[in-house]
Amino acid sequence: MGSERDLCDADDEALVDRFLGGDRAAFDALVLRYQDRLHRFVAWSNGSGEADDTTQDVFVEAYRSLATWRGKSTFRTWLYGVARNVCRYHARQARGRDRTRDGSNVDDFPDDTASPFESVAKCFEWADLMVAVTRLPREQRVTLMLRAWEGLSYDEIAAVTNVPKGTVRSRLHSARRTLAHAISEDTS
Amino acid sequence: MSDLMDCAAVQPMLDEYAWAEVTAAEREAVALHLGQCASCRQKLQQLLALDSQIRALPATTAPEDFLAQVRAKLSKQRLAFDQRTTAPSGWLGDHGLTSETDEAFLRFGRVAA
Repeated sequence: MGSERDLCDADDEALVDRFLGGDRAAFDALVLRYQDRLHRFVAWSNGSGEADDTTQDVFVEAYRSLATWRGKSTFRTWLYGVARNVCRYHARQARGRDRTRDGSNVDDFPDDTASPFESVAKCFEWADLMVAVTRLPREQRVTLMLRAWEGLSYDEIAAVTNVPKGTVRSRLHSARRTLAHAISEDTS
Repeated sequence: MSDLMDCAAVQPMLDEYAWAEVTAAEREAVALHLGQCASCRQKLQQLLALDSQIRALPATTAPEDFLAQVRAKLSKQRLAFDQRTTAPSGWLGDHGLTSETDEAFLRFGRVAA
């Protein structure tokens, strides 16, 4: 088992190897490394200020499933893929359905559900942008977050969201256009 | 790519140019155009300003005892260390999946592509 310093210095893949080899502290190090970034991702993905429980589920699922990660993608990409799916699961549970009556996916439509973020946003100068982000269709919002905040490349986002790179490109373009329009309306 | 690019060709590429998702040849061609076109430069500046605003949006953080909460949930679900999935389980294998993420998430239900 390594020292705390060793764990801090080790890269993700080395920590996974150590965890799979029996070093539980290596998993703790991964939790500590990613907890804030995933908490933010979950909170914005769900458009909810309450993200503790869902973020815990992401790590529980990672703990359970790490042995199935075969290193085709980076650990970070794999982990965000798990997070994205856990968020979708919780969203479906919350909504009680995941498809509209005509069979199209709710993720493709603007998110009209009232968000706790919205009431908070109204108090601050970035209110309009914040509200506009929360109202983006979920998959556009997730794609934007992965790019703007997490710094994932288009290829990595395609792997996380399980869509072609061209879809990543179009989602980002649509999201930016929507947000730019929201800001311009605010300032005009 | 060459100096023949015009605004109609450049503007759809500005998203990717701003995020360094273009090839070296594309980057060179777009940069050449930007050096000559104030309108496209302005559009790029607007894109960069928007990105800056997005990145500045407030972030949540995990609570201080988050690791303890994760450990408690693992314990509650009886996921002792020696009960980890040490290999894809039989029923996972039965699905013949190739996506690592999908395999990792089957118990949360398959998601639509």
